[in-house]
Amino acid sequence: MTDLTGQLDEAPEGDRLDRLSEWVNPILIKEVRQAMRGRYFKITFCITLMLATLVGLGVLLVLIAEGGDEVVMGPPFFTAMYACLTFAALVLVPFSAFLSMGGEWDENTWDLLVLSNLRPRQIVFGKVLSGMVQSLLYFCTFGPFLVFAFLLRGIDLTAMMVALAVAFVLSFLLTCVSVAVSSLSRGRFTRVVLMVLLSAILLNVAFGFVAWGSQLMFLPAQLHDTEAQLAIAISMSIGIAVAAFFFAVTSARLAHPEENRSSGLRITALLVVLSILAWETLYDWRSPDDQRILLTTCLSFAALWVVSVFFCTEPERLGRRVAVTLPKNPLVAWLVTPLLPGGARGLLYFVFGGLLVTAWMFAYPGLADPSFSYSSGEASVPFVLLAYGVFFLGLPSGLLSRGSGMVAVRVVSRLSIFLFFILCILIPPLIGFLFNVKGLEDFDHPGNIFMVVAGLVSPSPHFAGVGEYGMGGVTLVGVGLLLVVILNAARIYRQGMEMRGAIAARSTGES
Amino acid sequence: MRTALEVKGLTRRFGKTTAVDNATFEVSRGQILGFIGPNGAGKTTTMRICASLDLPDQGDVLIDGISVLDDPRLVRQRLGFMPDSYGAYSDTTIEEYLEFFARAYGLRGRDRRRMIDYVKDFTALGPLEGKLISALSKGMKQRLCLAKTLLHDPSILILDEPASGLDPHARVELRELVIALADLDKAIMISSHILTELSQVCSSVAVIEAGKIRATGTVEDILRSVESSYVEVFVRTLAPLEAVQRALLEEVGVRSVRRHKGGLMVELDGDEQALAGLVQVLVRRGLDPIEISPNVVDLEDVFLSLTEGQVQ
Repeated sequence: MTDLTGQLDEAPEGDRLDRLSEWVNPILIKEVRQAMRGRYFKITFCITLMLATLVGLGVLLVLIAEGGDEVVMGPPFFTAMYACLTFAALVLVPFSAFLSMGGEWDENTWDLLVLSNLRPRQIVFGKVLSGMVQSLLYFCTFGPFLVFAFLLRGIDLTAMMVALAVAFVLSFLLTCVSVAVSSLSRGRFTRVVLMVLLSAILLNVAFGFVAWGSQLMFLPAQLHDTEAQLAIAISMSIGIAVAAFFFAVTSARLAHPEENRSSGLRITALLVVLSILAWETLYDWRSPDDQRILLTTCLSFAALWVVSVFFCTEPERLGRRVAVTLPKNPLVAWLVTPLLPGGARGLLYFVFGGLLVTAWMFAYPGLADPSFSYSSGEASVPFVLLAYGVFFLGLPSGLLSRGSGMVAVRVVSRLSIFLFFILCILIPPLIGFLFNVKGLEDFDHPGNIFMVVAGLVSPSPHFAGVGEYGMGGVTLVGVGLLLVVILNAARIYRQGMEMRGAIAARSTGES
Repeated sequence: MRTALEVKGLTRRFGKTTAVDNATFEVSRGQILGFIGPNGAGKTTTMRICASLDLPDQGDVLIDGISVLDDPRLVRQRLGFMPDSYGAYSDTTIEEYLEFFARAYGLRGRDRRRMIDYVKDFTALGPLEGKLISALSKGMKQRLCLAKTLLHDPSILILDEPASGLDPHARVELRELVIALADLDKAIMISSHILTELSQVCSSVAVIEAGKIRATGTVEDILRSVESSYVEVFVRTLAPLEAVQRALLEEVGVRSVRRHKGGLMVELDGDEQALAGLVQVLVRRGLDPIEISPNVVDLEDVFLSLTEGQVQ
């Protein structure tokens, strides 16, 4: 390459701190510098502090007026300060992240960032980290207020620490969500609409959270309950997992169309599902509860199904940039197929994820308690969910797969999957009602997955399982799956051939 | 000269519109290619594809032999792109801006310091250290963007309308910078509407219109191809203009004669021989010529003769 300055030195110099700063995300440094110099942070920071001071003084005056020394002042004062802090950490910080991401398009700097070879995930990570630094700054600034609240007595230290930790995790989650929302559109009008929606969501979450925090302060004893502790731990870990998912969504959205925008998202979604399964395993390890296991299974399938709606409607082509990054080992390349971009591979992803959940459903209780067993109806739930999931995903997406290269077709395809799902539930009773068909007057029919599963897991005769519908129900499901196979055979074949070609090219390149 | 940038059969469609249609050209090391075309001709689309910011429907772009489709990250390490609407962060100083991008390019420690100092000197931004970007003039912001583009020492530079909005003084300075960069053996592709500017720096041109490359080659070759068809000459005489006009139109090889700024603009078939013949005619007929100045064909003429002002 042309050298402007002659040979560049290899080793950086400077003290340890300087060397450490070399590895800090450049976006983080830029964002923090900008935030500290920008008007938004200065103004909101000063207003929040002034507001907190005024609210604190007001609360103290009211409490003194009410009864002086006899009133326990800690919890109400803490709640007031916590409300101010929560407003800053759950509303101002995520909103600042939203503006910062949008600013890259408003200020025409996005292309420059892409050209600088920063990966989308580095950019998003820098934005989120910057939000966390601001959040931390608010927590530190509110430190003296919170210590003062503790000194006023009546505050449980554990409850206070839990409330603060959960607020910080929630701030992280909402910052990730805000950055993801900001990446949805580059058009100014749409972004204004998104901004309004996001503000409403953030304010609602903040209000709800203040109520929870205040309840915790006034009733700290609930924290001594193991179930409550585990519920908080589960909520926090799921919050982090969801934040990671939003992080992956943003990174995928910001990546070049020909880059691999899907694998990261697929892996993250799978990790979120696995974390749900892991918590259920931990929660019920000593005595597996079939109802809870089935609920977790259904939730996991639902999560997989929702993300698969997007995966199975992706453009079918693997893409040149993805093809050259396939694992060089052909066996590994074939094994990771469900995690690679492409509509047919999206369908495969659902099957793959579904089988993992099914394997967990049978393996975990068997290992934890050898005497554990499911009823035949319960045991068939994951298979029914898998079959129905494939049917709802495969039919509309298979029909529209030829046009999946176009954005409009992809949107129609995604909407049609949801619509198809709803219509399958609504149409039979509608027909029954209009034409007075016996047996179709209510929602208890094979097209309604909710009723089918309820029938399988509930011993109540009120619900009919898929088997209860007789051969008609089973035939209907069979025909549906056959249709899915017919509609998707061509694209599955094409993607298989494409994979074969790409794997062969990688192997040849290696040799 | 080694080919640094190779555009091969590039096609880009937006719906039914073909923004770039089978474009093919190349730029070698040390060469400055002027990429000219009317508004909406496909210049920016082509440049964005070359910079790996957009994807072609067909064709490819090779940067030092590496395809922008296969390895965009490697390409970006060798390429500097200055977009027409470049961004600058508000609330950021020149120093911070350059440091941020240097970090983003992966420059560390003393290397980063040295590179920032170098590009600041090269673009004469040194005296403005500590100034907020929002306080800079358009010309200075342009320099800053060029400095940023040079931070990772790219071997190929793609400059999209770098001179737009600059005052004459800033344009001259930019021109000198571009020439200095070409002297460093960098391949430069530059687009501009100001063709007189381009003609003074470019060693070759590619003319694009309605997405199609109309002509490509060295400036001399292209000028020659246009010059060969006719010569335009401005003539002023002491004799009355009507008489001169009549007399010239009787001569063989005179395409047209029209009034122009107190004289006549004469279009002649042929080359400089035809011009010599015209001088002889004016003297022989006693028309007392006091000024005969051939209109030198420049890039603007080339551009006008090759394009029809079509947009998509």
